[in-house]
Amino acid sequence: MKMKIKVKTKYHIVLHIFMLLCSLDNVIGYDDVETHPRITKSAVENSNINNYLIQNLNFKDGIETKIPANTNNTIRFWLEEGSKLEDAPLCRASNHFHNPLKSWNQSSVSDQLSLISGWCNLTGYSTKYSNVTWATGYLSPAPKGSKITIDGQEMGWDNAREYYHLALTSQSSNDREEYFGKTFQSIGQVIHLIEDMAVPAHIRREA
Amino acid sequence: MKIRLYALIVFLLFSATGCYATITGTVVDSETGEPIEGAVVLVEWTKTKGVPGMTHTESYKVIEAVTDKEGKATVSGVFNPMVNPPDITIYKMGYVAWNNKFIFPNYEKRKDFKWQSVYVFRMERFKDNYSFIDHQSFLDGTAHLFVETEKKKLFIKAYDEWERAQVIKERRNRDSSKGGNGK
Repeated sequence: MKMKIKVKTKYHIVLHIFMLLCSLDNVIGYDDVETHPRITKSAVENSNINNYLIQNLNFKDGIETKIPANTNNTIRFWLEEGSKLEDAPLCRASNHFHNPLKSWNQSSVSDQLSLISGWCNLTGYSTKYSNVTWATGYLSPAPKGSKITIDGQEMGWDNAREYYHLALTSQSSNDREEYFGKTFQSIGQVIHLIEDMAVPAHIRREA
Repeated sequence: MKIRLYALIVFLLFSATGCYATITGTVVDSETGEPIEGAVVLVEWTKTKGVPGMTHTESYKVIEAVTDKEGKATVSGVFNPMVNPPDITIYKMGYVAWNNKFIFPNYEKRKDFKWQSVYVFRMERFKDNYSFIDHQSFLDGTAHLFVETEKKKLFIKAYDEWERAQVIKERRNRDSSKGGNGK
């Protein structure tokens, strides 16, 4: 009798686990690959960038302009891709926190697990910068604030400006296309950082 | 008894994945019921990766098919209990894209779809009051047009031939109605 009850219980457990697995659904709030590009798309649609590209840079298709022209990669793609790639590798995210109540050189992530922190140290992300410093290089508020160049940051705001300059002045069309792609990707990466500042955990330095 | 228990587990796992095996369906116009020829059926399986709390999905396999004169298409499936149920998106010029999870334009969850052996996909005609920009966002979220683009050539080609120009035009109209000077 006891044996039968045990077996029945096992069957019930298996069935319940199966039913739970079947009812699982994705919640994409924490899905950095889905969520950031979607917010970026929304931001781009609500901005004036499409108009700006047509009127000022002669990109007739606006954000649908393909860069390079022979690919499917539009300007919109580079912006969205940038906002996705800011979390790649994952240790970049160590620099996505900023507590506005602290000075900028002390406002970076504070409670990262030592295991993750150790891993990030090994992969070249030993210094944890404030989100704002990571994005702009400023250690204190602009324009008078001091500024640094961050090793390993090639997709910040200053980089975007540099790529933009090169996109406008390079001799070959291949180089111009490459730098335009990088310009929009790095803008996308900076947009990611701004998006993170709307998340409570990111402004409380809670990893 | 143990054997029966393991058999049950194996059966349940395979019955779950078997549901997503071969997808055979007919694509029809939702108003007339007429079959739609040349619609692109895009099926994409994904895998969830990452650590708990920071997960993301990655494309696992993509298959495209085009409907024949009778509106029929078949896509052979994936037998892997670790992959997520596939996203099915069907695209045809002049129609709203059909997706097995969401419905355009309000992104409502689709409730009339069940995994079975044969399907009938009813496509709604694209109405004048629908926005191509919104439809593009819908496609971004459902067909992931920027991911695995090499495997979605038919879908992207169909999109480029019709909708891309419409999106550009709609943005131009929107921007000019805003009266922006591009600054």
